Amino acid sequence: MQVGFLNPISYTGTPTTTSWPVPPELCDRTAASETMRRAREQLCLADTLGFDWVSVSEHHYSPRILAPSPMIYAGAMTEVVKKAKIAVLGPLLPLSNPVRVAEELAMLDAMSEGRVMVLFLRGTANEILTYRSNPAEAQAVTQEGIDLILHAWTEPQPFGWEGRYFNYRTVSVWPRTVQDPHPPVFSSGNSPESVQFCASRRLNLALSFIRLPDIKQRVELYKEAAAKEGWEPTARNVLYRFWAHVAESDEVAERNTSRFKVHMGLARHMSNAVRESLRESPPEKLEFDRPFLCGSPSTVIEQIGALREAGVGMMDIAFVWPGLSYEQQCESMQRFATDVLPQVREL
Amino acid sequence: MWCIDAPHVNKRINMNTYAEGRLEDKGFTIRYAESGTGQPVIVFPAGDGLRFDDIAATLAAHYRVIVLDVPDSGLGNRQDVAEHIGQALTRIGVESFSVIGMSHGTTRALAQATSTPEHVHRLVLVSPLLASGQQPQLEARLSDVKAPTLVLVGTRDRSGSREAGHLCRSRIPTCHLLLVYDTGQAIASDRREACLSPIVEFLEQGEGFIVSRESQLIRP
Repeated sequence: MQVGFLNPISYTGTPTTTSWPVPPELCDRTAASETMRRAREQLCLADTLGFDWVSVSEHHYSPRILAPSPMIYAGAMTEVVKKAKIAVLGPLLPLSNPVRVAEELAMLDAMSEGRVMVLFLRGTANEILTYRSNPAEAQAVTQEGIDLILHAWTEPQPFGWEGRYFNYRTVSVWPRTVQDPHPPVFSSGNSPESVQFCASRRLNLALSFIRLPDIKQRVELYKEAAAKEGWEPTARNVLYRFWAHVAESDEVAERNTSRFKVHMGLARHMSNAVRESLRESPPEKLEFDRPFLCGSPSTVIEQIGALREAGVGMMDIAFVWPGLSYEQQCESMQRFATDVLPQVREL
Repeated sequence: MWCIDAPHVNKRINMNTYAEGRLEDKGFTIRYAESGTGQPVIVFPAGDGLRFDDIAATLAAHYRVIVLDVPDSGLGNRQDVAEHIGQALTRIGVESFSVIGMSHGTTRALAQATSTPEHVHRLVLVSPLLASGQQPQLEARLSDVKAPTLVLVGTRDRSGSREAGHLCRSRIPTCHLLLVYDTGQAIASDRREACLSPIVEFLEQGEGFIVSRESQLIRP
């Protein structure tokens, strides 16, 4: 089992509304700076503790994860993180120029001496509003964007692109990626259609914040689709992103996390007209009453065993949960690294 | 420079409305189909037989399109055939022309561009088939192509067009390679407008087609 640390870049100021977008006037300027300092500190800790990668994801207009530009953050990571891979998981393609994304990732790969891995995403339902992209086209735009980026990294000659959603007449990415032919690429498999796409392009599968039965179902679908394409993925091709909290006992872990639930649906405060257009997942799929991994080290090892049985071989873990202090997050990370990680390496 | 009304690819002549004729030069004879007026465009289709297909019909709304029926064998070597075609076209009043080669027709189109470079205004190759090593003479002459060249290759095409496109892009001095997303070898069938729009823009503007003329102004 390989394990990455998802840097939460959690806003250190006073907690604000859970609606979206959050008014900028609620952002304390000093707290924004302190947020970045702490996030950097956690990156260094994760690198020291032996996590295989440190990751950053793209989010907008809210204090939930302060990373509207994952590329800027990843650039800083290459200077701070010495051993772990730099995981950009991931850029939101409906909000991006894919050629620019290809260029920036190639640059990061050179800066990190070939340590980049990447997951291309379409974003949570609300985030499609950031630059006013069309939610009905988000999946198709994302898929074409991925194809374009793969060509941008592998075409030996300058080329033009006559796409459905992207049109370029001159693409010629410099530098080339250090990794040949390109960094490991993950694609979201949170919907059955996206799993098919992922298998058809022989990309790695990334799942996030879904429940164990859904993970199993998606992995089986991925394997079936891959078999039809003539290849066989292993657990190392399947990544799952989730929250974890490890404490000295199950009781303490329960006490630390049971005061709050997490609702992922940031569009739920919007009007019916907006929510229907955004096609946010049903509320029951978006509410979580505890982290996916939660308990003492021995309990968490058992939970990881179940995840491995479901076909997951890569875990991207955020050690955050509402109500946990920064010190508790770091303690949980350290406990995971010392008491759990060595036990699950060989899974 | 001549202008085409947008959307230019939605206008076309009836595919059955064309005249047939014969190109002749010193005992050499081939059939052709012709329609439209304007700058001449010579088309080397994918296979044998006289066909005025959808691409030809669309282009004929704006150009004088001449589709040639050049048998794959029995006419001598490709360079000689190209010389005859050049002479024969002059006889019917066609001095300067653009050339489009489709799939298997791309080798004929390239031969025309290298044998009569002074006559060829633009060169367009759609899904070129030039498997490396099979046609060394022609490959060696790619650098002799003088006309601005556009090569279209489908991203799902596994016939060897992609490799041929790379070869053209690296050896023809003014060659542009355009990948047409989510199409196979039959680009025009898979995504008609995505195939025709860049061809028409290239025929109009040559290498200038890489410069965008679309306004970014949203509300004046």
